[in-house]
Amino acid sequence: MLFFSFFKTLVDQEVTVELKNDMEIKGTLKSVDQYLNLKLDNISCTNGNKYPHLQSVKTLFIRGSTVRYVHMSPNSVDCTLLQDASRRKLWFNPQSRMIV
Amino acid sequence: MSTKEEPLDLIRFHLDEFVLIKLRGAREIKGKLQGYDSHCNMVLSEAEEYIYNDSNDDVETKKTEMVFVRGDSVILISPI
Amino acid sequence: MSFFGFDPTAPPAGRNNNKKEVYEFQETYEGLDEADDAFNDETFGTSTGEIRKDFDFGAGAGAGAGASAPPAAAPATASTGSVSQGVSYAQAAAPTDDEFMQDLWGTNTPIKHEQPIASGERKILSLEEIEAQLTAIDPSAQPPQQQQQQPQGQFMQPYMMPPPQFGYMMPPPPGAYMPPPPPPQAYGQMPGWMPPPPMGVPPQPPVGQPVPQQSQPQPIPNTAGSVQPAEESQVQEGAPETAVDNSVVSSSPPKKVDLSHFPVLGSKEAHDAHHQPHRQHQQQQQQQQQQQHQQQHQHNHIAPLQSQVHPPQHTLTPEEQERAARRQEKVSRIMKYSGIMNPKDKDFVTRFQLSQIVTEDPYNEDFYAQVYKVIHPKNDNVQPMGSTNNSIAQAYLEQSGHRLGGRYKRADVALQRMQQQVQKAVTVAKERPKLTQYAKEGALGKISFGTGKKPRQQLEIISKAAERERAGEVKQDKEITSYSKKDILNILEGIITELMNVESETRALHDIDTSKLWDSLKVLEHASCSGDPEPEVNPFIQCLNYNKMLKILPRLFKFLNREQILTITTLIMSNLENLAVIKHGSYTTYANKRVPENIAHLVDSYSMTFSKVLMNAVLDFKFNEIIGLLVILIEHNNVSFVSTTKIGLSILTTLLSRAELIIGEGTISATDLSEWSSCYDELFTSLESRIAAIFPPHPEDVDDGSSRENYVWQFLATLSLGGKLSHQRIIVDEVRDEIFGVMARAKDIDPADVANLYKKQNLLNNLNMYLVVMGLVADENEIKELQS
Repeated sequence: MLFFSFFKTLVDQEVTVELKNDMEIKGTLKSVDQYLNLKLDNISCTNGNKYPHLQSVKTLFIRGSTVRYVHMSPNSVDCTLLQDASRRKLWFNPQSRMIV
Repeated sequence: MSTKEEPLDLIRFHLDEFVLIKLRGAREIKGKLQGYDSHCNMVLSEAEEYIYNDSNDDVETKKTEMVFVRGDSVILISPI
Repeated sequence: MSFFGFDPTAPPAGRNNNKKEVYEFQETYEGLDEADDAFNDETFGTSTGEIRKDFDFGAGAGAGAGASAPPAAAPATASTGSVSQGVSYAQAAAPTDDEFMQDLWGTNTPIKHEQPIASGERKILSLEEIEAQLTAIDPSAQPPQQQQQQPQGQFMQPYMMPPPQFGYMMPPPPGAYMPPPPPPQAYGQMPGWMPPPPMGVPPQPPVGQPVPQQSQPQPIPNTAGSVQPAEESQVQEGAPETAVDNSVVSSSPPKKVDLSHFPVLGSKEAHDAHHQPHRQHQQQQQQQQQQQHQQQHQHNHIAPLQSQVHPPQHTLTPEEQERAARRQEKVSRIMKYSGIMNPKDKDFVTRFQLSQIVTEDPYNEDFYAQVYKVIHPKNDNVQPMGSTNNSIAQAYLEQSGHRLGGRYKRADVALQRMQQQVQKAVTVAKERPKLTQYAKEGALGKISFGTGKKPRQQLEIISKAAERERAGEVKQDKEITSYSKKDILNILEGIITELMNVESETRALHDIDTSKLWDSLKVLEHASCSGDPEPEVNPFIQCLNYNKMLKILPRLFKFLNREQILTITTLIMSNLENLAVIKHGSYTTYANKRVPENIAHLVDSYSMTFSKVLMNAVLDFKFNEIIGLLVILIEHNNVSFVSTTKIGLSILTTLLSRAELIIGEGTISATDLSEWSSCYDELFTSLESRIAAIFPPHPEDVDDGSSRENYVWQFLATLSLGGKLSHQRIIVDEVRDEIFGVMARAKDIDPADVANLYKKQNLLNNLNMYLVVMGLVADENEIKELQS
């Protein structure tokens, strides 16, 4: 859930998503879910000459599992906070996974 | 102090340190570890990516200031 | 109209217009094209008309049903009937059941009468009329769907839970074949869709009218049926009434609110018919039903004909049929698996699913975003920090000192504070110039009096830690621990973990146990002093080489008591040269006289964190403790080397200026003062003749006015402050070139260059901060005696 939380703070920011098929899509992050599926608006393919498929697409949904990288502005990340959040044992605490 | 060491602890030790990550697709990325989770999703800052092509002498290098790396591409993480 | 949403008119309709009838039937059977079914007769054993006649279930079933036990009754009956031969169970069962039910409710006979009429008149509708009806019907079209299932629900009863809940989500029992429900409009007439023979309890007594065992609502319809068996209106009425009754009684199993009839009832005829029963069964009329009637009534006024509602069935346009079929298919799809899970199962699954996204501590799960929002409020919804109700974020912020601002701001704060302290010391010193003068001149002997002993005494008093260190050192000689980088990182993360634990404890408790945190620091675990091989240096000191350790210092020191802080400071003073910022932070060790970038970064980090923490700590120290620290520093380190590093020089400045401030308070005893001066002498001796070296030599490091050398001038000012006139002369002598260099650089800045004017000011301010100590002041051209 850490990165779900993380990406929530990037909503409305410009990010560049690099997919596992090498396609690079730049756009405004509109939403994210727990699988880190992403929805981007105003997209453009930064290597569009190589991949013209999306030239007419303005908004799209990216299945999280196809993502290789997401590049973002360093100004939109609070590193200290992110490190502390990573250290929180809770992310790995099995108890929090099930309440059944 | 820390009693039992788990594999992920090794990653934790390197928070805020530079690490080298080997990725699928003949890629490596070097950067300062800013965050990670149990899936090996990571955020790196001041990162540099190396893409190895067939001829090993041909290495493409890309710089990126802040990048999220999805864990399912990760092969190994190594301190530098 | 029949009870259960079955429309007895169907078979007769078939009689009148076989094709139409077949059409709907086909829908029911999902593509069985009966119109072209050459074996239709075979299938049904006889023509539809005959079915009607021969199939007077009211009589026949009486015996059959009565004979067999309820669950088996229907099939048995079916097989008994004339229809039965060669007919599949389902096929047989459905119509049979239909009859059965009609019989059961005593509506059988009237049906026959009604059907021809209704169906005959239906076909004449115009498209508009159909539309009108459809719109009228639509609202009620939904209920029928529900209603269709209800019979099934009924059958399910034996298997499943109480009827009301299951109304329509229950799948048919394994044995009961359920033809897909027909389109709502049509299904009233459709025998085909009729539920299979009742396996459940309620319909058990299939002995037609005399069924007193039936649950309360039923008797009434029965009565209705029996009262006016011959009238079609009656028949139609019968069903709704039953429905009403049932719905009123609601929880009783036979809850088959046959709303599906409403469309049909909407017809004028139906409406008229209704009025009769109304008279008889007014108390049973349901409000809703009436409303629907009225609604449909309005539409019906357009059409002169009775039973307009029925026609749609026969004149269904392809689209309508398609629509109906689609709806039907949807329902059947929904139905297919419904009831597979009982409520318990569903509850389990729901909880399981929720557990995936819900945790006991949502704030912790969303920690990053929650805190981030507070730290970096968006411009559009700026809310005052205090008004946030996010306690975790608040607590985190309070603890972490995150809000001190960005890195750069923090660096400025640290630098400013240093400057302030020095300036304050200078001011204090200026306020007692005569005293100083006087003391200098008059008490020269006194000053040198009593050197040597006291500092050592102080050392013993203040530095228990140092003592322990010494003791430790002895031990270490036998067993030298050395730490790998991983060990250090492990220890460091351990510290952070403990720190975070303590921080989270403070949110809940007032009394917190910081002993684990203290232990994790390993300050006392392994003593070392400057010059030890790197792996053997105390782990705390080694940790200080990592950025993340520096970052947590302010948070860490919040949880340490004075004693612990003093111990740590002592340890640091004795290990200055083990710190990377000092060990590698001097330009003198580099061929190009430049500190490498990575060290320069670390130095910056120190300025932002360590220097500030140290300055706060020193504020709490007593005069003799400061002397002790200085003595330790001098003893364990090469002071002139330390002074060529930025951090080293800052540390010296911090201690010296604090000491000067305390002296300025005037409460220091003469013995303490003499200790101080002997300590100062020692320090000065180690610096003497190398003072100019504190200026970084590389041209690029020369301060162009951008405050790069502030720390150097601060040190010079402080050093001069504590020194006697002789000291001051020596200092001036050594840094003379730098003084004139600054003046020259200040002069080089063109006064017209407004943008850079502040640099000129910076340069002169720095210089004057130092010169003022000696009663001098400089502008870019000359140095004068300080007036006033």
